[in-house]
Amino acid sequence: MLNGLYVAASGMLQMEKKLDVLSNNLSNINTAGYKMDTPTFESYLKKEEDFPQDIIRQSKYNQTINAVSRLAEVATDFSSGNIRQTGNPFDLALSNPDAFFAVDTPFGIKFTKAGNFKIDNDGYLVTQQGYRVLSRNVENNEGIRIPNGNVSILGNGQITVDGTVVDNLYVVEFEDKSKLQKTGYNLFTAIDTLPEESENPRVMQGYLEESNINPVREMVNMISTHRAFETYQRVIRTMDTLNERAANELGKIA
Amino acid sequence: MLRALWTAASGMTTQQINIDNIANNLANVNNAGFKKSRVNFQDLLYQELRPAGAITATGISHPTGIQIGLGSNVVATEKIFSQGNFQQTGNMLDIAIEGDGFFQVTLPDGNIGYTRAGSFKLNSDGDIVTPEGYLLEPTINIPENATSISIGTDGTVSVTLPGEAATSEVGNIELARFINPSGLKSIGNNIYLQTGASGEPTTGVPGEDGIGSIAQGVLEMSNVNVVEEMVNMITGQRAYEINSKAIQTGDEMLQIVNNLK
Repeated sequence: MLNGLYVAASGMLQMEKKLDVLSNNLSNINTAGYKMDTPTFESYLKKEEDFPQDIIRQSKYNQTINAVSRLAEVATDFSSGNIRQTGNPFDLALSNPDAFFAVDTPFGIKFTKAGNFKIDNDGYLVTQQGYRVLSRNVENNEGIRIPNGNVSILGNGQITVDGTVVDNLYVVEFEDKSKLQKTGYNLFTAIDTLPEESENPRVMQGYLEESNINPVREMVNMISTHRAFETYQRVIRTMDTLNERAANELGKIA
Repeated sequence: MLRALWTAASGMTTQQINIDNIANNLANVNNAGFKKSRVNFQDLLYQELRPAGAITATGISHPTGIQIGLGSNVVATEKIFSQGNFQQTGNMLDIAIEGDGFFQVTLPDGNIGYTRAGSFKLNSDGDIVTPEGYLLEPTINIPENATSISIGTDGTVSVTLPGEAATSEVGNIELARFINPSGLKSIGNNIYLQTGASGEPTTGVPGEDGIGSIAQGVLEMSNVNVVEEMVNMITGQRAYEINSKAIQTGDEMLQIVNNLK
């Protein structure tokens, strides 16, 4: 059958995945610290290195006609979201877009931008899911215990209660943020990369970083996805018509 | 079928809860001592189409993976215990707390409830009670013939009796403080109950150890900020709308598929 059919069908499949990613962005439009995902696509054809003897595969004609599209990666955009004033003493925003809070979870140390923390029943600073926020004092890292009193958190992550320094937030940066993978629950996992302590975390107490979704961009993306999907359908129908002619008309004896 | 349909549906559901919460805040805008709540969201699980670091046929490892998120949900509704505005009422039994802390009241089942609503009354026995009739803890009895009640910033309640020049002390108001007030459970009537998450209450004299001081003749209004709630409502509505558009787009794409043949 005509190969173009598969190429167009692969386009439809990719648009479907693109809509999945867009929907997840839109679904998290109000999630604190959420970072937008962008899918990118690539053309795919079994490379000549895999089949060095195969002349047909290597031909430019084949590469143009038969390269299907596939999802190359879902990249996360780490630009800053809006920073909203809430006045809640345990809402912390990092106005440095490269900085992350470090959180201790049962499945390892994770990183987050969602600074809507609270105090648990043992007095530790925890995320909304109950995971402890890590302190800079790594040797004795049980989390940050905050005693009763007036808490004030400075821009460098220093936590003072009634004027006495009690602890420091462990705020980190990464050399290559593309190695951060989302794990859900507002957390990121570092894959093959080590955090370095941030020199300038710019912690803002009483503020919360919102998601960095731009609804206009997402709407435009959604429309273009929809239209591209429609176009591929036209291509498939056109090819189907050609096949129909081949099957029914070419062989007809007048 | 399309993942996008369910993903966007989860977004609509979270926004629905968001609006429910905003509606409750707005419904209590004039409720003395009411504390607003806020909904916190989180992203849900991610479906991994290709793990990061996977090796391709050509022997190169992919630096990043392909993950598609499956939507959002509500992780917590959190009470925000910021100070409400004060309103001068001049009523002797209107008491406000300036700073942290809660009044303790005895509930009908014998448990202690905690409240910020300071519009107290006297019952027929002369005890200080909430408008619902719950006794203030520790119980303070005002003698029947008292001509005036004065409450100090440290919670000392004294009364003036007819024919006496000096005031006489009849009790002390104690306040309770929690390490994590956001973990308290609301049971309505402006009353909160202690939970595992709130921690044990520490009671004390108003004005000491981080507990707020007391102001007489003043009522603490709700801390609901109408402008903020309106803005939240607008963004909530638009987020709901945009998620419904994603469902619509997904649906139309399925329709296109159905028209293929």
